[in-house]
Amino acid sequence: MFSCKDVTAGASDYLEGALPWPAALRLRAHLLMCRGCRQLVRQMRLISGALGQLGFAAAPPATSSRVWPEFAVGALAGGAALLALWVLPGLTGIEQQLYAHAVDRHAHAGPALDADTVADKLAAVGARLTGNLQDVVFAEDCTIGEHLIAHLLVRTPRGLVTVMLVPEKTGTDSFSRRGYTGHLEPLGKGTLAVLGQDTDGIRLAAAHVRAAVQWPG
Amino acid sequence: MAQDWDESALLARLRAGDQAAFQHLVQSLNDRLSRVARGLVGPGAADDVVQDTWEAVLKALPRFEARASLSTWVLRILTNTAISRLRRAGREVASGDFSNEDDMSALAGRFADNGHWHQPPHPWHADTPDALLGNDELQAALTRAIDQLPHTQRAVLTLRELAGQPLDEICNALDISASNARVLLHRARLRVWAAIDAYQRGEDV
Repeated sequence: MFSCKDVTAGASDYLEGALPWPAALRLRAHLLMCRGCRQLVRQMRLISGALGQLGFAAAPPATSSRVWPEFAVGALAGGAALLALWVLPGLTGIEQQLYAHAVDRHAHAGPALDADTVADKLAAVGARLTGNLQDVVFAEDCTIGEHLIAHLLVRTPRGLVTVMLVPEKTGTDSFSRRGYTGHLEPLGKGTLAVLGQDTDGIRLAAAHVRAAVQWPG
Repeated sequence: MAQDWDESALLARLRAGDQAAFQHLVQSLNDRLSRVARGLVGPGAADDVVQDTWEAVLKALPRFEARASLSTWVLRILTNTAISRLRRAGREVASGDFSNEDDMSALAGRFADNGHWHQPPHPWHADTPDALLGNDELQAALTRAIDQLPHTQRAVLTLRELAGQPLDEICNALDISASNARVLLHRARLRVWAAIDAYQRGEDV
């Protein structure tokens, strides 16, 4: 278990996104429970932001890569508790990595993206946009462990759904904790992962993606 | 010259030798460049470095290909100028900071034996970058904390936080290993944090 001293020792690497991800996850779990350490990390980030403003770095460090937030909450209510309860016991399963990635703050809803942008990100994992995929409000190609994945946020009438194309085969699997549901199913070259707070929403998003994406393209 | 300068228009005028354009460029970047220079070579030599940088910029302008923004390009010239000055001065750029300094020395006494906070961090009055910079005394404390860092820690922190360079570029620039760069950055950040924290708790810094 991480102590506060361990968190402090790892804080700078954590802000850099330089901690190996199991350590980053443990650190985050500690932050969920420890107000003092949350303060420390928050204040270190605040100083980085201020120094950036004094110089040439407008954004705090490592916003372009994956920055784990102090709280995994944000867009996903209940996610924090879930992270602490569910992700900690074993740190290897792809579902857990996906979950942890889904609650990452780097995904943020914006205006709906145009088809070219979405197609670009899908192309990064070798998938092709062949149909009409509307209401994608975030699209990025990012890494989980050694995998490059396509990471989308899709707006549905039943709320935002995280959609990931992961180039690793897994079986069909579902999990549900505290009002949060994830579903994994085979798709083309790998796995389609959908995560959200509403089962109809994730079903809708999965169907949209299946209808509009060819993988391999 | 209060008008907004579009970067390409500015560049065209700079290349045409327009003095007002150059003055505008200097005014818009000089303070920030000075802070970076100060972090790299110290307060004493910072002005020289900034001046050398502007001379180098003037000379190199005809060759500037606008692949990066002007400010990025000027910043790059400044960091190169500062680092080669450190080298010329016969100073190992990265020497002297690999003592066995306890990484956590800035927080000595704040942890209990079991590794948990004995004296945990508390919220600050200034809790956004703007609030922190809006307070003159606080900004002065920040500058002082950086000035007081061992010089390699100061250089790494400056390149990372003020110049916004990625760590791998910093390793190359300062000729240090990746793990050393991370350790130095870590030590510097904790020291600066501890200084600002002490200030916010009302202690003399």
